[in-house]
Amino acid sequence: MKNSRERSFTDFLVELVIYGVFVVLYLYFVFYFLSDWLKSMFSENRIEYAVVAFVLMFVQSVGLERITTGLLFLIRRHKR
Amino acid sequence: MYFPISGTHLDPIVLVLLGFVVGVLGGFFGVGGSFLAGPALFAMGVPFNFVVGTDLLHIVGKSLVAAREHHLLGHIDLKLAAVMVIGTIAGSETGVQAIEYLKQGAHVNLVVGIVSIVVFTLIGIFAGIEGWTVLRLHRSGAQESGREKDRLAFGFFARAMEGIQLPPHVRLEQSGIESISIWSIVLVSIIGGLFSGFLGGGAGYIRMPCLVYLLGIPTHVAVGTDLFEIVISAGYGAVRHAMNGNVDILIALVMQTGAAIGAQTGANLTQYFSGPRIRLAFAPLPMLGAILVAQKLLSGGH
Repeated sequence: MKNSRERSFTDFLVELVIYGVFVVLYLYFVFYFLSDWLKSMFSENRIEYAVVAFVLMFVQSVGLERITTGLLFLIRRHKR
Repeated sequence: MYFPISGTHLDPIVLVLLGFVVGVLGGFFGVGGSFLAGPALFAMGVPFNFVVGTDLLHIVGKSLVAAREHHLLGHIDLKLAAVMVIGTIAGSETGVQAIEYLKQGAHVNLVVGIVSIVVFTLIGIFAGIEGWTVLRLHRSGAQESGREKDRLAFGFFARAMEGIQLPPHVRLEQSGIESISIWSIVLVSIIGGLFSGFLGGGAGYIRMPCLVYLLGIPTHVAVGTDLFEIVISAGYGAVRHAMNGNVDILIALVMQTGAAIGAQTGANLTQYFSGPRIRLAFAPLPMLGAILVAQKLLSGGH
């Protein structure tokens, strides 16, 4: 039981490191390419901004959920 | 780092960590975590109108994923959810309009801050009493199961609500309820929507206890149905607030990256703790939110 808990904690740490690298790259992309576009949309067309904000959040949530699940699956399969 | 939409300087690492903590809370306690995320954003210097809108948008994504999983498990009472949608949207719109009204008078931070302190303190006290009562009954050897156990500590609220006999009535097969007045469901959904639109977040902290203690819905169905309503109320509220210029999408996206991994961590942690202990551990967290808001207001943050 203890071994199984230690194993899942190690899996989590490995996942956290890979995920951390991915998130830093992703956020750099978002701020570098989308920041000005979103700011001007916020100032000029609020309805368009609302729709884009909702879609962006939806896509990111689903995408990150798939990535975290997939990463954990791959790490555990690799260990076996 | 400068966030141009809300015009604030925030540390993205702190935002990711805040998202992570909120995600853990979501996975562990089954709540959105707005009682902590909202006050923390306010304490970091984000104006309260942006706090409310941004927190709503951040919660939409998280709840969508969780609600889908609960639907697959059959934990959403679709009939109950359909009746609730009307009240949820009406309540949410009222909350949004209240924020707009307060923005005109430049009192938004003070009023929303004071309401937050009162609500979060009451929720903390309620969760503490409920968790403690259930734990004490368990220790004394009381043997209850299923729905009775869910309603143990505050069953008299549910019995009072069942006394409302205004027609029309509806039968909720999935929740095991033979007959309940539609008005009592609408009342609960309006309360949830109002809190969501006014204080931000999905208002699961108020809707979930109302579903269990007032309407007598079994906890696992209440969690799934509450998540569905959070998607509706937070989604509607987020779009309306974005249209009114109260959403900083960049802050929400940064927080969400932490929340995604936090939710997984929180869900894994639940296997090590029992239900009443989880609810008792939850009690101090809304109080912490109330302290953060009070500290910011007292230091002249409004």
